[in-house]
Amino acid sequence: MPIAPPSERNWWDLPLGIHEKVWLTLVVAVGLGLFIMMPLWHVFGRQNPSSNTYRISPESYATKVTDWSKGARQVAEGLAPPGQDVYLLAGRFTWFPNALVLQSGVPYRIHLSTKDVNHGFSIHRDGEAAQKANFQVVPGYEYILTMEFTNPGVYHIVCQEYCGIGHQFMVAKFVVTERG
Amino acid sequence: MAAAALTRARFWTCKVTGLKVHEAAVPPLMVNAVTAVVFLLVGGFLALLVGLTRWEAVHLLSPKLYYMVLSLHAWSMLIFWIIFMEVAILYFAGTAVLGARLVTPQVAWVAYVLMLGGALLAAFTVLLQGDAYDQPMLTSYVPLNIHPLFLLGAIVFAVGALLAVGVFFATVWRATRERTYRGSLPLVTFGAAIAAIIAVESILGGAIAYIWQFLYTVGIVDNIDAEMYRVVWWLLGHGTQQINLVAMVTSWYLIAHLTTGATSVSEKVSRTAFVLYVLFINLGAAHHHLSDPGVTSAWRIWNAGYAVYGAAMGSLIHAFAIPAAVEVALRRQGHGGLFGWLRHAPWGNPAFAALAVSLPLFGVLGGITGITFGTEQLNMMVHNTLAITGHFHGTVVAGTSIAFMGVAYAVIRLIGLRELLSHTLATVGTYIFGVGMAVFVVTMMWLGYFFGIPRRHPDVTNLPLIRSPILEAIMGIAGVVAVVGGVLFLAIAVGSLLIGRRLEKGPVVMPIAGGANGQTVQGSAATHREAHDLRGTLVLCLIFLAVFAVIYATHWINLASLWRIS
Repeated sequence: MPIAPPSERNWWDLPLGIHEKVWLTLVVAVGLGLFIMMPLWHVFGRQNPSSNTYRISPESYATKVTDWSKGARQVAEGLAPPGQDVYLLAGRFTWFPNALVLQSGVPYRIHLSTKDVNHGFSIHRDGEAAQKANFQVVPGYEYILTMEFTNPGVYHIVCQEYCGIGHQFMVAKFVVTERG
Repeated sequence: MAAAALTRARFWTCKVTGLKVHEAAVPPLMVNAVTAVVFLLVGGFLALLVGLTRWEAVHLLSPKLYYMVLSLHAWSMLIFWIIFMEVAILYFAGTAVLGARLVTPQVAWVAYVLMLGGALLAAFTVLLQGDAYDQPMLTSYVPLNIHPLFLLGAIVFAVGALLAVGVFFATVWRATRERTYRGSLPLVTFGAAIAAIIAVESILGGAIAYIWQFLYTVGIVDNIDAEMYRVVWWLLGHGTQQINLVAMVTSWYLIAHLTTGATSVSEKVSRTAFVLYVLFINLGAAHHHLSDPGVTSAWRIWNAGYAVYGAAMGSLIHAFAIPAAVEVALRRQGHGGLFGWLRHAPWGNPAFAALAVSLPLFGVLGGITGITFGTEQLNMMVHNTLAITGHFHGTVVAGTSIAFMGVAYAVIRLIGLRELLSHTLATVGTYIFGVGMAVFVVTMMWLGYFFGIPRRHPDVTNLPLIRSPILEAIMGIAGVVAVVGGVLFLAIAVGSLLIGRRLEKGPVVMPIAGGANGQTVQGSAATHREAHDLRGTLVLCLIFLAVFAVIYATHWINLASLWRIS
C-alpha cells in the first residue's frame, strides 16, 4: 500500500518479474540511446548550435556593428556584407540592419547581440514554414553562429523573445541569392 | 515531552483507509488546497482570455492587456495553483499517511500568510504597475524593467513556501522519532519528500534570482550578467515544474491505490525511480539554454541530457510501475486477459478518470515532447515557439492539473468529509478537460513546430510567417472546451465543500477493492512472485515507446533538412 510502510521489511531484496526486467532493460537502453544522439550529431550532423561566444558590452558591440556596416555595400534589397562576417544588433524594437543580401553556399559567421534586453533570433525560410531555427540573443554576449544557406530565397527574421510592448514589430530578413 | 504532545494531539481515524488524521492539520491543509483552487479559477479565466487572443480570428486583447493577462495567467497557474496544492499534498503525506501530527501548525499558518501575501502583492503589482514597467511574464529576464514590488512579492512567496516545506520535513522527522509508523516511509510520503527536496532546491534558486534582481532594481547592485540570471532563474522556472512532476507521480500512486487498491509491484523499482529524480531532474533546467550563447555544447549535452537521461529513466519506470500496480490489483479481483483488467477498471470514478487521463496524456504530450524538444540540436527548431507552450501544457495541465483534480476529489471526501455533488458530472468533466487539453496541446505544437508561430506573442498577423487560421481556430475552441471541463471541476469541488452532504468521519471513501480496509492487499514472498503478470502494462508501454521512437526520429529527419548551422 502506498499509504503504509512496505508490508515486507526486506522489500529491497525481493526479486523482479520478467516483464519488469524487460522494461528496465529497455529503459536503460533508451536513456543511453537518447544521450549518445547529441554528441553523434556533432560529429555527423550538419545542424548544431554553436559554442562560440564572447563577452562584450552592449556599447562596444553597437560600435562594432556600426563600423562593420560602413564597409558594407548598400544594394537594392539591403546591405551586402564586405566578407563572411554578418552582424546583427537587436534593440527594442528593431534589428540593425533589417535587410541583408547574402549568397547561398557561403558559410557566414552571423554575430548576434543586443543593446538592451533579451531578444530572440528566429529565422524562417519563406514559404517553407517548417524550415526554421531559433536562438536566444542575450545582452553582454556576442554569439557567433555559422550558417550556410543551401537554397536561395528570402529568410525572415522575427524576434521570438518577449522584449516589451513593441515586440511584435521586430522583423528583418536575409535575401539569399545564388552564388555568383 | 514529545510523547505528551502526541497524546494531547487529537486524531480521528478513517474507517476505510485506516488513516489517522490529526485534527489540527486539517485546517491548514484544506485552506492551502482551497487557495490553490481559487488561483486555478483565476488562472482558468485568464486562460480563456489568452486563448481567445491567440485565436487570431477573435483576437480579444490589445498587446498591453495581453501581456498583463498572460503574466497573471502564468503566475496563477504555474506557481500559485501548483505550489499551494503541493503544500496541501505535503501536509497530507506528512500527517494523515504517517498517522502523525502536524508539527507547529502555527508555522504552517505563518507560511500560508507569507505565501498568500506575496502572491497577492505580485499579482496586484502586475495589474496596477502602469506603463512605465515591463510585464514580468513568468520569466522577468534581466535587464527588463521589472517593478520592485513584484519581485518583493515573489520573494515573500518563496520564503513562505520554503517555511511550509520546512514544516513538512519537521513533521516527518517527528513522526519518525515518535514511531507513528514502523519500517520504511510509505511510498506516498517518500514521493512527497522527494518533491519537497526538489522544492527546496528550486525555490532557493528562485529566491536568489529574485533577491539579486530586487537589489539591482532598487540600485544596490550595479550589473547582473544576463545569461547567469537566466541560468539561475530557470532553477525556479523549471525546478518548480519538477516539483509538479514528482507530486503528480506521487498522486498517481495514491489515486491508483484509493480507486483500485493498487500497491506498487516493486517498492525497490518505484523508489529507485524517485531517487533518480532527486539526483538528475534539476539538470533539466538547462533545456532553456540549448539555443543560448554563454554555454558550451558539452554543458548543454550533459545537463539537458540529465547526465545520461537519469530523470527520463525515472519517468519511464513510473510510467510502467503505476499501470502495473493497477493491473496486479485488478487481476487479483479476477479480471484476467491481456487487457481484461483494463476494461474492468473503475472508469466511472472521477479520481480514477483523472489518473487514466493524466498519465497517458502526460507521457505522450508532455514526456515525449519534453525529451525531444530538450535534445540539444532539436531544440533549435522549437525554442520559444508555441511548440514549447504546447509541451508544458501537456505536462502541467493535462498531467499535473488533472492528477491534482483527482486528488482533490479524493481529499474532499477523505479529509473534507463531504460527498461530491455528482460523481457522474465530476467524471464527465475530467474527460472533457482531458480531450480539450489534448487537442489544444497538439494544435499548439503543430503551430509552433510546422509554422514557427512564436509563443508569448500578442499578434502574429503582421509577421512574415505562414499561418493556419484553421489550426488557430481549433486551438481556440479546444481551449474553451478545456475551460468548460475546468469549470465543472471547480463547481463540483467548491460546491461539494460548501453544500455537499456531510460524511461521517470514516466515510466509504472510494470503492476500494481487495478488502474493506485495503489491508488485505499485501503479500508474502509467494504472492509477490504471483503478482508479476504485467503483460498488459508491458504491451501498453511498448506501444508508447514505439510512438516515442517515431516522433523522435521525425524530428531528426526534419532537422537534417535545414541548411548548415554550426
